[in-house]
Amino acid sequence: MAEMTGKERYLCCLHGETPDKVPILHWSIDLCQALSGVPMYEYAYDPEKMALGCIRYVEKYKPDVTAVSYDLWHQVEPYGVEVYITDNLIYPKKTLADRDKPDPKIYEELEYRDPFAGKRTQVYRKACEIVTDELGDKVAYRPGAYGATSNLALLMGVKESLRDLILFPEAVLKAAAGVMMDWTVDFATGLIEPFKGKYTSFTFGFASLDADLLPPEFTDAIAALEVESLDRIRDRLRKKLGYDLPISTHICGARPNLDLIAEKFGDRLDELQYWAGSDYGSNYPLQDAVTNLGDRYVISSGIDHTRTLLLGSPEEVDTMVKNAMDIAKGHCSFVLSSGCELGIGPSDANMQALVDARDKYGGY
Amino acid sequence: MNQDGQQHLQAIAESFSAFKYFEAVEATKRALEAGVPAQEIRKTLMALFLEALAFYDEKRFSMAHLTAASAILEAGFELAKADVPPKGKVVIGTLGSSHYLGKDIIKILLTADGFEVVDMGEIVFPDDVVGAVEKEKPDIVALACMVVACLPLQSMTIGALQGKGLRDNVRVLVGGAVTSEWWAKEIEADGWAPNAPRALEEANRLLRQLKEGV
Repeated sequence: MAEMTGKERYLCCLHGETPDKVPILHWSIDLCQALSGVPMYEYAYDPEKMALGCIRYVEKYKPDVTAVSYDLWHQVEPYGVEVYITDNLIYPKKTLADRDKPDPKIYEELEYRDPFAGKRTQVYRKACEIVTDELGDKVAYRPGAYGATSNLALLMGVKESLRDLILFPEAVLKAAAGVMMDWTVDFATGLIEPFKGKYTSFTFGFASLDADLLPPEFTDAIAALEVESLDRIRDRLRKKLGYDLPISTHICGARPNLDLIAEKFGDRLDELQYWAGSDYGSNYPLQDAVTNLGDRYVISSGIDHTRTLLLGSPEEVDTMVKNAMDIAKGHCSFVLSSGCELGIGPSDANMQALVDARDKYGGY
Repeated sequence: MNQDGQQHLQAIAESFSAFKYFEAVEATKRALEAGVPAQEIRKTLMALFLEALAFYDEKRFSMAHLTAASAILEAGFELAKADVPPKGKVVIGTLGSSHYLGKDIIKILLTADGFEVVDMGEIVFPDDVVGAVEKEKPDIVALACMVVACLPLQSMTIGALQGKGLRDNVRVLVGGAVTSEWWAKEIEADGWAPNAPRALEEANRLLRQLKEGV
């Protein structure tokens, strides 16, 4: 079989076809920033440096599928959410809900703001444009966004929104179903524009359905809001593009509720991307995902981006990849993927071992 | 405690258990106005919070319930201030990242148990810890780490304390989602806790060690 591009490999998986080899999916703001040659503060505000970091990341680490990496809070900048930017970290300084004094009015009085009005989001969109122009179809892009309840949590603060869901659920759910729903649909569908038609899928992010975070009595209500978020995004994308864009996912967390997601979202989704390594990962083993869900979805997993890739040896990375291939390759449509962003510091030797092991064990 | 006092404590407990934040605050104020000792109110709130933690371990409660319970506990503690000297002093913070959920729960438990707690906050770096130890002279430094990328900051902090000659003055307790007992031994921390109740036990153990000169 002729050598495929990263985009071709990923598209094969999404279409249920067999690529030349298993594609690799990962991304990292930390490594992109390091490769951009400037400190995080400059990276965060300079689209050309941000794009340069991503382009060098693709050249150096050879993922087939990746993302222009940025933090999660740029999108809520129009609401006044500010961030700390240290040498290599971006974290929120203050979100909307008060940390010490719960107040339902914050939710009741929430107003719509243009999701693309913030300076940092404009920087991000410009960087995506540059990357798309430079790399073209070499790699697959899967732009995406979270649903309304997760976005509300980003805006209010994760802890605060969890707290407030228990203390005054009506106000929280109403804000998610109203203002944040409209905002989410506008943000999500606007986010694909800089990729100029070269996206392979839309990635729907899951955070609020994590088994540990979510209060069971609110599972159905939250899931319904997330389904509505995705349905409205898909409808808008269909009108915009004239066809149905495949839906990939990013399922964040150590206790991903894959069965619940499959039950609630059914065939709306094409792929499940989550954290599972051979020795270390979330509490949903890769074997279970392949057995239980591999006939319905592309499974993107197998890289433990925390211990093995970060702290392990190249030999351990090789074993991790071999184990993942033994479990998943040929048993489902499989993408070798990290569970989330790679942190600071995986060695070049480990990153190279990842590609070498995929080449050794991942051919079809 | 007379019957009237018991009724006030019952009202606080009922509001707490139903996650009625504003009612719990009002019930606490009424109890104080009626002369219920602050210590009794704190004991009631602490027992309720420990019950919530047990429910969390049994998977009857989620993280959302814990955050709501901790908000009520903190508001109650703010009103019913302790009137006894602290048993020991802890400086606590999250290294490198902005995660504070687990760290705040431990802070609450330590405060409720009678420790004086100085919260360095989040995105704390080794130099910040050294500065806080020099200024506050705590018995224990509690260092949370929630992101793998920030793990090295725990060992760097211990190294920085050693470098400044402060290591022998304090006990270092580490914890957080990405830590382990193995890791704590590797970096020569004095204690490790996988969850909030264990962090409280460890803090008390380390304090006893310090007082006994072990």
